[in-house]
Amino acid sequence: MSEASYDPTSLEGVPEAGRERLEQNRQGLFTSDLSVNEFLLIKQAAFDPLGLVVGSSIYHIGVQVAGWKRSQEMTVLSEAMYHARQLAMTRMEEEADALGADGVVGVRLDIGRYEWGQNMAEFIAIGTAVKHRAGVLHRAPSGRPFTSDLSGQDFWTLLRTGHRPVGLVMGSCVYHVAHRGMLQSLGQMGRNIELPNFTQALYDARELAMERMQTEAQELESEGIVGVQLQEKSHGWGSHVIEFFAVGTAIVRSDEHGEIEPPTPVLDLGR
Amino acid sequence: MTDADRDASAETREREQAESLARIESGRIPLQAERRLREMATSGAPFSSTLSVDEFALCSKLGLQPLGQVLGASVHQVGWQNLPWSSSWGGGLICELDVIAGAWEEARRRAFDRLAEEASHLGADVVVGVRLHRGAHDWAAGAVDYVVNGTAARLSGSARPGRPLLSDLSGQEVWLLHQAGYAPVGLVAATAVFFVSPSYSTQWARYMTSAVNQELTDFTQGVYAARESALGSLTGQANANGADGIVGVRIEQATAFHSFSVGSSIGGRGDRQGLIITLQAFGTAIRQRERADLSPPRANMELGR
Repeated sequence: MSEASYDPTSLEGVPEAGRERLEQNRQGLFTSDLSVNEFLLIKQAAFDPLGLVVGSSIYHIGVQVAGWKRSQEMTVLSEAMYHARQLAMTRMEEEADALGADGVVGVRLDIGRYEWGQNMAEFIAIGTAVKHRAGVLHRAPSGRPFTSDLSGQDFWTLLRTGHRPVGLVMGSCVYHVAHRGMLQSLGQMGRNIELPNFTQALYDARELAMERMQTEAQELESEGIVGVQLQEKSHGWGSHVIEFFAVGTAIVRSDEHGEIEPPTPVLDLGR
Repeated sequence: MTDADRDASAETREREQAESLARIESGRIPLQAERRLREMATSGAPFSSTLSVDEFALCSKLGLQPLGQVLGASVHQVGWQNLPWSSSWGGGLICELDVIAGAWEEARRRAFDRLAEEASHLGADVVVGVRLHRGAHDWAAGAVDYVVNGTAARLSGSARPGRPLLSDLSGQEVWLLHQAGYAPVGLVAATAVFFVSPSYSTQWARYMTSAVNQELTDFTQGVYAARESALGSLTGQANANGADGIVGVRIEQATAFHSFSVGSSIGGRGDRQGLIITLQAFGTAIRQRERADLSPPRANMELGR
């Protein structure tokens, strides 16, 4: 899949108002969608929030026709879904870079659909740019700011374990599940049996999405991925075409001796 | 890519798909999955996990090393269920719908077996944080879809051969149990599907004397029968595993009215109505490993909100 080119100084596509906002952030006023707890914990972890960063891409998703009776990946759609998200992520990273950030926490990836555009979707990446107070480098090996979908609390805990996030990793697979032929349906009618072609199609698609996510993590030279979510959605392509999307945060070990103190069981008296 | 190359790769793909299908039919995992796992196990690639950061932090405390995210899935067709011929129709009837229950049981067994197979390819001892999803797709009417995923992990210093142990407990819960001297021994699950055909007295109570408060005993009994059957099966499985008890049992119950005619199969139409009760129960069986006392929890008042 094509790599979105990355230019740390680029603010391409950011409108005038956006540039002004980033300029304000650069002068010291931060904006963030952090809750109070998250804000305090990020401060505690020796990071400062710099500003809310956004990347957006409105993408036209091409058309692909699958054989009625074939289970197959819809490569055109897979690539579209992946590339559009990557564009949005890259733009968000570029905004973070413009603020001189080390990385972005609390990244959310959303897909918006509008009535005015069929086959069209807006891909949005949004998060809070943060910078280490003492200037310790926390970027990804590629030189880009790190990205992660971890909350402020998770970010703090992760740093305490001696790990740090390097990047949000994702894999997408859009898959067409074959229709059953008339004869096949008749043959299976009324029996208690597994439907192997359906199982295989869903299984294959999920595995492909996970494998792609793992490849991304490998490229980042990470140690592992935490918090993987496997989402399943049909974006209006009809019921037989489903997107499987795997997303998680890749982490590396930054401190050999990092270890959390033994937790104390706590009884919550609220409610 | 030349045309010849493309033909060759299309041919390989076809062949692999056919092989995957054959594997699925025999209850195993497809080729693609096995390849991903083998690569992960041998190449020292990054692990992947569904663990939250908190769970990940606790895993290292427990000596659990996450290896990779694993998956099991099965789409299963529900066969025709014939209602029994019975002379006691008028007096009401409660019976188990074993074909429908069997479809759920089989789908679940296959999904769990695949989850365990994936985990054993990674050389795992346990699968923690197993999550279950059950669904139906509109393109597969009358079929049930069972998906389970979790994180395969190895216990440090163990060489526990055989089938990896499954548990739907989160990392936090495993840690707490460990502190209290307990260890999970396996996931237990059961499905019961029961059919209730109301007796004349119940029908009379529902339709004719609707102003009166009274219990509809047939329906109560049906729900009881389904619950006892599922829970009985859970206890049986836990006993077979040598467990001391089951924690975190969840019971999901769905009831629906269906019309039917006497002697026909479920799903047909008819002049009578009956209730189908589907009940699913899951939990993790645990065993006491040693006598240990959990330090008394600290009371904590949340200041937020």
